[in-house]
Amino acid sequence: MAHERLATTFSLIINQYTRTFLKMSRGAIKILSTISEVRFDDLLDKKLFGLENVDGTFRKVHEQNGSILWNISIERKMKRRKLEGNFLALQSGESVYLITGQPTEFLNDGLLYLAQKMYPELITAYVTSEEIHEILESFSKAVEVELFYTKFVAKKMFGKSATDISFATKREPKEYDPYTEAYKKARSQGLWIDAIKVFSKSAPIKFSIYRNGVFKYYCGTFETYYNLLLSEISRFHAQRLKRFENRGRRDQPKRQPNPLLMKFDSKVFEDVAIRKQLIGVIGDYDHCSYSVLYGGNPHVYLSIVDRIDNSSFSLRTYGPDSIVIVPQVKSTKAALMRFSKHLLNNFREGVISNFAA
Amino acid sequence: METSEENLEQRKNRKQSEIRRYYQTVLLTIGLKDLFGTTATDLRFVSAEPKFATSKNLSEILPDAVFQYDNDNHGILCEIKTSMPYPDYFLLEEFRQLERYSEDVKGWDTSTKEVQNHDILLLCHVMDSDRIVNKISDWISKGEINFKKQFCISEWGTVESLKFGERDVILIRHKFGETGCVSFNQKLRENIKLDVDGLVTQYEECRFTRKEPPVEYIMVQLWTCIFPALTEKTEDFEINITDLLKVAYDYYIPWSGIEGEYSQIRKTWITKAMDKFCEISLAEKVEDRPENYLIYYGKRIEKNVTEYFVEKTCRKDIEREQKIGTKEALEEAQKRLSEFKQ
Repeated sequence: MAHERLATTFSLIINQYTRTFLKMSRGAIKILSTISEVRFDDLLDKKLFGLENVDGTFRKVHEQNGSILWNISIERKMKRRKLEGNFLALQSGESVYLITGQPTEFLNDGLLYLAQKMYPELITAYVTSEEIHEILESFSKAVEVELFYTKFVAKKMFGKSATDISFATKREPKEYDPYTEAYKKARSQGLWIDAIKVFSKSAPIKFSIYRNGVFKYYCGTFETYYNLLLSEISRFHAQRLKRFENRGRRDQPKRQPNPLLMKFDSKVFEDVAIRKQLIGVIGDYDHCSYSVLYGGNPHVYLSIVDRIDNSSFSLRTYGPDSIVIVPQVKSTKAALMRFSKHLLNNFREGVISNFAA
Repeated sequence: METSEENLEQRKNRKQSEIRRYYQTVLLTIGLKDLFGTTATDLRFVSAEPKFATSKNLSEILPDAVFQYDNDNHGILCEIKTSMPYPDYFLLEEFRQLERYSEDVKGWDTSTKEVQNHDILLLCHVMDSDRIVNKISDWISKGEINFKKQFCISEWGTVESLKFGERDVILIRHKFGETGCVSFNQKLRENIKLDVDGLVTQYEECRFTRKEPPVEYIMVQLWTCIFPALTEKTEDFEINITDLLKVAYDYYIPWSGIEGEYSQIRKTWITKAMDKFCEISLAEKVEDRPENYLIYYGKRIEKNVTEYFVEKTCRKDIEREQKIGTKEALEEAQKRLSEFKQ
C-alpha cells in the first residue's frame, strides 16, 4: 500500500504552501503520518466538528490521481485557553498526512489531539528505532548525501523520560558525527532511539524523525521528503497494519486463535520483578479494562479490553524474552496497533511476528 | 478478634489463590491431553468430558480426565484437585466421593463402553499433597476408606523459575500408591514435565475444566472475553443467558470427549456469575424476561477487574454473613421464599 509519487501539479501546490508555512513560522514543517480507510473530509464532519470543544472549517484545495489535499482551520477550546491554527491534510490512498507550519504546541494539542479523537477510523503511525535507522539509510542512499545528527532522544525500558534522554552537545558543524554513531551510542547503553535530528553538510536537508509518527523538516522541499521518506514511514505502517489485520477469532475459518509474538532483544522476563512491572504498564494503558488471571510467577497472563472499540485480547509472557498477544473473538487492527504502540513507548521495543507454538 | 478488614484481606487472598489454581488446573488438564493425546505412549488421554456411570446402579460419576492403556483393556479415572479441605470431616467426604470410582463403571472409549479393570489417580496440588498422603494412609490403615482398585496419588505444581530450558512447566510427581500402568508409574517417578509454554493457544480455546471455577473466574471471562464479543460499544447493554452460552460454546470449549456429551461450561455457572454481577451492581435482571440482564458495561473499572470483582464479592459475602440471624436477613429470606413460590 506504499503511496504513489505525487503528480507534478500536486507537488507544486504543496511545495508552495509548505514554503509559505516555513517562511511564516521560521521553524519547521510538522507532519503527522496516519492511515485511514475513510475519506478525511468525512472524518472531519463526523468525528471532529461534532465535538463540543472543536470548531473549524475546511476546503478542498486539489484532487488528482486519487490524492486529495484539504486546507483546514480548527479552533479547540481548552480549559484555560483557545488553540487556533490551520493545517493541510493530504490523503493518498489510505495514507493521510497532517501537515502544519504552526508551533509545536499546535502539533501536540491540535493535530495529535485530533488524531486521537478520530481513532479508530484514523490510526497514527509509529516506527521503531530500527525502522528509523532503515529510513535514514535509504534516504541517505537515495539523495547521495551523508547524514549527521545534531541530537537524539533515547529511551530505555518502561519508557522513562528525563534522565533517560541523551542530548549530544552542540559543536562546530564539522565535528558532528554520522547518525550511525547515535545508534552505536544508544545500543551500547541498551537504549532505543526515540527521535533523531539529522542534517546534511552539503545539501538543504535537515529533519527530525520520531517513533510516534511525527516528522519535522527545517529546510528542503516537501516533495523530496514525501517521495523518499514519508513513503517509507507509510510502508512500515502499512506492513504493521497488515500483520494486525483479520486477527479476531470471528474472522478465522475455524474460529481458531491467531496469536502474535513480540520478541525482545534480551531475556527481560528472567527477572520476576520485570514480569510484575509489565502488569503496571498494562494498568497505565488508556481506555482499557484489564484482568490479571495469573500474575508473575512463572508467567503473567492477563486479558485486555480496548474500551474504544471493544476489541479484546489476552497477553502472556512467553519464555524469558517474549510476549504472546492472542486476539479474542473481536480484535481490530486499530486496537492492536494502539496497544503495540503503548508497549513500544512504555515497556520496550520488540519485533512482532506471527506466533507458532 | 479479627477485624472485618483483616477478614476481607484473608478472603481476597484466598479467592485470588483459588482463581490462580483454577487457571493452573486448566493448563494441567490441557497439558495431560497434549502429552498423552498426541504422542505414541502406552497410555492415552481419552477425555476431559466423559460421561460415566456405575455399572451397578447407573449413578453418574464425573472424573476430570480419563486414560486408557494396555490396548484399551485397562483404564484410569483421574480426579484433579485444585485444593483440598482442611477439616477432616470434609476431607473424608471428598475421599468417600472418590471411593465411588472403585465400582465398575461404563462409559469407556471401547466398543462395549467397558474395560477389564481400572485404576484411580488423584492429582492434588503440591501444597496439599503431604497432608493428603498422611491422612489417606492413616484412613486406609484404619479401614475408614477402602479403594477396591489400584489407587495412586501424585502432586502437581508449577515451577517458579524458568530453569527447564527456559520453558515454563507444570511438574507432576509421584507421591503414593501405584496405577496398573507400569510405564506410567515409571514416568510419574521420573517427574512428568508439562510444557506450559506450549499450551498458549490451547488455553485460549479451553478455559474451563469440568470442575466449577470460582465465580469470579467466570465473571472475568465474561467481562473481558465474552461481553466484548456481543457488543460493539463499551456501553450498557441487554443480554440473554443463551447468547452468552453460545459465545462460550463457540469459542472456549472445544474439548473432544468420547461422545462430547458434556460441555465444560454450564449454564448454571454463567447464571451464577450474572447474579453476582447483579449483587455488585454491575448488572440488573430485566423485568418479565427471567434470563435477560442489563449489563452496566459502560462502567469504567480503573483497576485490574479480577481484583475488583474479588473485592466486591468478598465484601458482599461478609455483609451477608454479618446479617445472619438479623431481622433484615429473615425478611429477605421470606421475600425470596415467596418469590420462589410464585
